[in-house]
Amino acid sequence: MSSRSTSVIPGFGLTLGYTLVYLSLLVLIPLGALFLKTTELSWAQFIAIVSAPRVLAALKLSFGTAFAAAVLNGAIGTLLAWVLVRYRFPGRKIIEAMIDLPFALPTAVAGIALTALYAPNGPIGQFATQMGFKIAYSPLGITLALTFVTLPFVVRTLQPVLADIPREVEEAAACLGARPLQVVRHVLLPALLPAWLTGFALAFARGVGEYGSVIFIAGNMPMKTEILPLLIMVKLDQYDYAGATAIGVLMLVVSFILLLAINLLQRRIAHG
Amino acid sequence: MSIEVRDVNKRFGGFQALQAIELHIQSGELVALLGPSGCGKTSLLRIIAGLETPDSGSIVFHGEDVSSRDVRDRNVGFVFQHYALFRHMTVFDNVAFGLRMKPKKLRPSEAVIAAKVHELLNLVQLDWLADRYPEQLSGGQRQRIALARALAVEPEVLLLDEPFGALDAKVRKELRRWLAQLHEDVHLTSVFVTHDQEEAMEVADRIVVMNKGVIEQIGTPAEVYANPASEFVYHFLGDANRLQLDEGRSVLFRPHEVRLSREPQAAYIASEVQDIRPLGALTRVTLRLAGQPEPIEAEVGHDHPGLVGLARGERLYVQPVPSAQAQPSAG
Amino acid sequence: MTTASLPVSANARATTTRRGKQTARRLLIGAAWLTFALFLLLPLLIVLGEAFKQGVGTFFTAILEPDALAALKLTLLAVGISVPLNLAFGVAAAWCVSKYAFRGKSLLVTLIDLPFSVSPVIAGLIYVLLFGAQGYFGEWLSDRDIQIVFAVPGIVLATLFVTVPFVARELIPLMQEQGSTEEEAARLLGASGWQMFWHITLPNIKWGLIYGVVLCTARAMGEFGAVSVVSGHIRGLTNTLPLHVEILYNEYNHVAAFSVASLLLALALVILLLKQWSESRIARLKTGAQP
Repeated sequence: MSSRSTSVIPGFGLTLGYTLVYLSLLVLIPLGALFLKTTELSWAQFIAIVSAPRVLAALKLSFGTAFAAAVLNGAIGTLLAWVLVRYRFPGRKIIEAMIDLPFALPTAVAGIALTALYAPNGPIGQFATQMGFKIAYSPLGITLALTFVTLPFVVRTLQPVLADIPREVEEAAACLGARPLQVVRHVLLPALLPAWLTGFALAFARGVGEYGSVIFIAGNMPMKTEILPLLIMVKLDQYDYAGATAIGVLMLVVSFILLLAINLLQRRIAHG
Repeated sequence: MSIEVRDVNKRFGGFQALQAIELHIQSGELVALLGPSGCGKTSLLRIIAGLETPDSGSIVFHGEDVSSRDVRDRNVGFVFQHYALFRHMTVFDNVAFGLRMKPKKLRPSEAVIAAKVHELLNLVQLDWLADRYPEQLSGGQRQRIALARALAVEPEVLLLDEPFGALDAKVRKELRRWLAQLHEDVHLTSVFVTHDQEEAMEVADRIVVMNKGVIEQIGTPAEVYANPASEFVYHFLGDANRLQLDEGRSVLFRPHEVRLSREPQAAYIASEVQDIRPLGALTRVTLRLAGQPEPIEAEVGHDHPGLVGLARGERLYVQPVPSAQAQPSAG
Repeated sequence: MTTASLPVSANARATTTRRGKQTARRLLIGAAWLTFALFLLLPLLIVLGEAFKQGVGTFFTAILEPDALAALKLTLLAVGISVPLNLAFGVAAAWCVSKYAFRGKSLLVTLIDLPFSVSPVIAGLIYVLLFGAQGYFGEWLSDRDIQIVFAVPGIVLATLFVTVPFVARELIPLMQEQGSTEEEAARLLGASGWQMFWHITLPNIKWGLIYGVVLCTARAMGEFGAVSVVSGHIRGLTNTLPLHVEILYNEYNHVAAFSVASLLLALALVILLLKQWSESRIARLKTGAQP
């Protein structure tokens, strides 16, 4: 770490000032407006809005599917990170490059593509139809869409950490008599846990707020397949600014608490 | 347990790392594999451990050919240069690891494991660190824990790969002595790799000098120093000066194998003082000898009478006294 | 000395372990390919499949349609404004964070990351709250006949917001790792602040900049949620490319929707290539090799 306050390198005042002004104008003040607007509601009004059945249903759906998608990505991401870091095989570079596709692709494009895939008559959806359930227009569809969108998070956070574990640690474990599975279970996975949690948290946070890739596949039926961000849009369309802001604040607060919890858990694990 | 290395060869791509290596290590011996980087000493150590497989040849432990045995079945203790401690485990868990990984039938109870771990931590005098994490320890402490961990599974062979390479000079010296003492107490067949000849001479019962994938010489520290088998061994085990004789012959001598005089004497060569460097107990003088292409370095006690008032550019008379035994057989 | 015959169990165990490792390797690689195909490849293929379902002619009609071109122009405008602005911000913020120590630095970094963790719909919502008809500045704006929300400025603002962190996030760790010694050396040799920045800092952070700009552009082009809130969804006027895709799709004009979508997909693939390229240059920088 070599950042130090030094008069030799100019620009402190200029850059700090510009940064703060820019951030305030563009980010802080607008976000502040959100909280300010909410204060116009009385506490009782706020509770009434956020505990409405429709809001609660959307809350459960958004957080539930985001969690499921994050768990699914926890598994897929670990698999992909493992294979990409530890094995050399033809075509590896293609997978490596395409992992970031969900980052680069506009969410609307992802949305219609996934809907086409999982719709009742789509290439994959038709198998589900045959077995009597549907993927698109159900929470399952939402979860799969979120899995696509948040795929890179776990993979990309795990890759550098996995690559960094020195070969010697595994050799030491082998010399001490550990079987390959034991080495993975007792030596490698525990070392990856903090990074895994970070990836999980990022995927989860992103999934809760995701809009574009979900609204096409969700079906958007109130109380059943309506996600929180859509509910905000609906309220805005009805000029129910108060309702929209209340839900917005709710989303931010709940996400913040959950992320804080994950952060603390991470710190506990990293130190112990 | 004795170790035999029989005709081991190893290539890495186009590079011949080891060639026709033959080595016999007695039970209870402490042997040093000594040589410069790239000489193959680490490859050999890893082949003995089972971390690499040779292209040809075999490794025999106490009469049993273990060449095709997996590393975890060879019962070797291995200590790495950078410790390879498990970062996310306490010192206690690190040392207990090998015992906990044993198959159910052979695994001792936690109580027995705990007793053994504490016994080993006491052996390395670090029992008070049992609950710490590796990142909280100094380099020297980490290496001792790594050693305790390796000893926990009661190996019959102890292998150390430049164990003190990552440590400060002073800590290195302390641990060197400590390892030698440990070996006296525990008497485990041990092989360690080093490029530091002082370390090898101080600790090992026998030294295996290696260069470019072949063994140059095997012998006790005294033997390899006093009777080097080749010029390489001579140069590697200490500083060397060369004296050109007639007919293209030359002779090697050590910096301390000289006599100095301010006055000309019979059989002494005239020289000009190029540099005088006090080094504590010794003083090193660089001299340009008449008729010799290269300067020589002489080391004498700091209170040598010839040094009184000596300055650069002055004349000094020097008689090299090369040891006849030490002249390597190859010219 | 005779060697005793090797106990069968130890030898067999070594071979089984080796075979076991190979099987595990094959299984895992296979599983990876399967996941890749299912989650990454299929969506890509279906966009192309649906786009060209009715032939190449229909494809080109869809993307050359006036509303689509207008949407493209608006998207490019939003990108053209937000990327340079956030580039300047990113450089300033990274400079400030990496070269100096001051209280509240980690708070600042967290604040910079805020737009990253906020739902895009909320990002649009806040500007509606400020500049919408019933917003804090609503009356002030309508008095002066200025339209922000449901007009182009709103779209640009929303895009700006969501892309704020991208360049900064790339530059901060890179510049922290590079340290300030070269800049200090330049100053000691008499360089002015700007000379130091231009000749010393910029070349060093070149690839981080490119990488950040690539990510920023990708996000700016593809932003949907935030823009959806502030746009009036007025065809030909306040629709970006992603919004246009949505309109086409909701009208059941699937082929046209996927055609425009495949345009965005092609751009996304170009972005992936650029990303890989600049990433590898950064990696080479870090290991000290010449870029």
